[in-house]
Parts: sequence; C-alpha cells; structure tokens
Amino acid sequence: MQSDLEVAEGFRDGDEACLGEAYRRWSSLVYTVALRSLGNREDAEDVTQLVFVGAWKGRGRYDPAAGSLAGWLLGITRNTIADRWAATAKDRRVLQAVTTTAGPEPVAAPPSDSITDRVLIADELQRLGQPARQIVELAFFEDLTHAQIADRLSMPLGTVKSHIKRSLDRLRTRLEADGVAL
Amino acid sequence: MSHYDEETLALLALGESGVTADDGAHLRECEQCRAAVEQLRAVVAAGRGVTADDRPVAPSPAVWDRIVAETATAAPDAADIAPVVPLDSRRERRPRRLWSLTAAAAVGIILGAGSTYALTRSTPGVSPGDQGQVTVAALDPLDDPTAKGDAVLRVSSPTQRTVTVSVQGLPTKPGAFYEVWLMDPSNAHLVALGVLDASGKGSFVVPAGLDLSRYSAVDVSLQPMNGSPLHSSNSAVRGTIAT
Repeated sequence: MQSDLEVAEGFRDGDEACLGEAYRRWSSLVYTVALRSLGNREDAEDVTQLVFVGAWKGRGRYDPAAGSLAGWLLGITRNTIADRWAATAKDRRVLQAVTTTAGPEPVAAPPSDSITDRVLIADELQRLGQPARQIVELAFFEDLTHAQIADRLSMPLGTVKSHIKRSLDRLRTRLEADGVAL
Repeated sequence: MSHYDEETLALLALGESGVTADDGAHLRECEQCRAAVEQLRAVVAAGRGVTADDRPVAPSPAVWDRIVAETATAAPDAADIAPVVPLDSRRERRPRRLWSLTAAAAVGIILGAGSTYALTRSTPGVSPGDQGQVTVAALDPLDDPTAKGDAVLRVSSPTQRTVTVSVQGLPTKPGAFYEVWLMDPSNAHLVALGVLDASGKGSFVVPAGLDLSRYSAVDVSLQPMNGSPLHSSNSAVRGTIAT
C-alpha cells in the first residue's frame, strides 16, 4: 500500500491514480467537515467536488514537504466553505433589502475551525484499537477519572494511564498533521 | 523538583486532580510542563466536543463521478494566484438547478459508459409477438446510495410503449415524493412520466413520438411537495435505456 506521502507526491506530479487514492482516503473528511459546516448534503457534496477539482487543478501549488495532503485539502475545504457562507450572507442581504425595511442583519455564524478538529478526532478515535478507544471515550464523554476507568474495566491503573497518554499523543499528532494549527 | 512525567501531564490535561504529589505546585513554576498540558488540553477540549455526527461519512458515489468528469478535461492551472479556482464565475450566478443538471449531465455520460447494463430479451414463456420488445436498464444510485432498481421498456408497437420502474431502498421522506423522468444525455431536456407508488414502483406510458434514442436516461428524483413542476436536482437513481 502507498504511504500517505507517496499518494501526496503522486498527486502533486499529476498521477491520476493518486487523485483517486487521495479521494478514497480523504473525501470523507472533506465531505463531513462541509456537511457539519453547511448543514445539508447537497451543498456538502458540491464543496467536496469543488475541493478535489480545485486541488487537482492547483496541484502545482502543493508542496508535500510543507504539510500533509489531507491538511492541504482541509485548508481548501475551509476556504471553500467560507466562500459559500459569504455568498449566502450576500444573498440574504439582497433578499432582505428587497423584502424588508431596515432591520438588524442577522449575524451568520462563520464556519469554525473546531469542526475540522472534531472530525479529525472522530476519525482518529475510530482508528484507535481497543481498549485504547474505550478508555479515551470514557475519559472524554463520561468524564471518568483514570481510577474510575481502571475500576470499570478491571484494569491496572498504570495500563489505563499509559493508554491515555499514548492516545492523547496520537490525537495531538493527527491534529498537528492534518488539522488547523493548534 | 523534576518535571511531571508524560502520563501525569495527560491526566492534568483531562482535568484530573490529585494526580501530583505536590498538588500542582510544579506546574505553576514550570513553563515547559504548563505548555505541554495546555497543548493536550486543546486536544481534550476538541475531543470532548466530538459527537456522533462528527464521524466521517462518505459522500455519495455521484460526487466522484462528477470530479472525474470535470478533471478529465482540466489542465493544471499552476499559474493561478488564488489558492483555489473551484468554479467558473458564471456558475455562482446561475441558478443552482441548471448547474446541478450540467454536473449531472457529465455523470450521465459516465453512467452510460460504465455502470449500467441493458439487455434486450423476450419475456420467457411469452412469444415476442404478445409482449413486444423488452429492454431492461439498471437504475444505479446517484444521490441516494441506498437505492437501486430497474426500468423495463416494453415496445408493443411504435405508439404503444411503456416504462415500468421499480426501485428498492428508497427512504420514505415526509413532504416529498419520487418522480420518474426521461432525459436526454445533456439533461437539459426532460419529460416527466409520473410518480412512483409507496413501494417504489410505477408503470408509465411513453409519449408517442418521443425519441427514446435521445431521451434515453431514466431518472428518479426526490421531489419536495412544493408545487414546483421542475426537477429537484436530487436524483435518487438513474440509468440508461439502450435502444
């Protein structure tokens, strides 16, 4: 199997198979970030299409040494989503101008960087093996202490601690590689 | 005192108390340990905000088809200044419906080339004279990944043609219905045939004189019940009748 870097280099060099491989590996991230940001499937699919077509056409500007292809694609995703928001806000202003008299303009929530990070973490959590994943989920979502987790799973304290440490490191590494700079 | 070990830093980032012998005194003095905890805290904060909806899901297969169609003819534009040149500028101003149909047109070409099959046969046990010529086209998922089906064209005579559509896996959507269309390959021209019943089936008369070699695509769209006679641009499945 090709490494992510090999796919990224092939992508930059215009290897169409690497476009397909990049899509296979990272389109779910792009699509889900768009879906969470825009709230509907149709717009999210449009954004996904725009991101991959735009990235492919602009591949000459991508430098694998500067960062992961996934991170680059997600950066383009954020820009594309921001453009969508701006266009929507403009439409809304025009619509308001013709349909209403003066009134306060509703402030559209801008797409948040945290969506990208959440989707990346959700993805990385799914890649964690057990029991690491269960341990992290208990710590994150049920707010259990490491002692409570050890008790719940009948595991030595030290084992739970080292899983927590390694998993948090892994999540941090993933965000650093593909995310919006922490 | 020496630095906290990495496991302790991780527990501090999770907000646990009582995990240090000096009740966190070292953290107040040591910039290095504080920075490490802060960095992990950002990870924890993002992680605690994760919901089931944040799990990556794949876009519908149609998206890839559209990308292939669009990149097949695209030369790289490395000289461009903007980071992304996603659309030609006209598109933003065109109604979204037209754009979607244009994109769908490209999909139609791909579907025609690869992912549909068509066969011509006589229904077993029935002589061709009774049933006429029968052509079956697979309807492949487009915007609805769970749906698929087939369309059967029966030609009894040049003026007696019916299309029977059967689609499985169509989700029931309140305030919406499924409509069957014939389209030409450009998808700019459409003929509405009618509405599928609750089981995803329907049989429709093909307008006499309609050129099926031109209106060869069978499309099932999810239509909002808003009174608009236009195609919603949300095509659940589509296939091509080879005539």
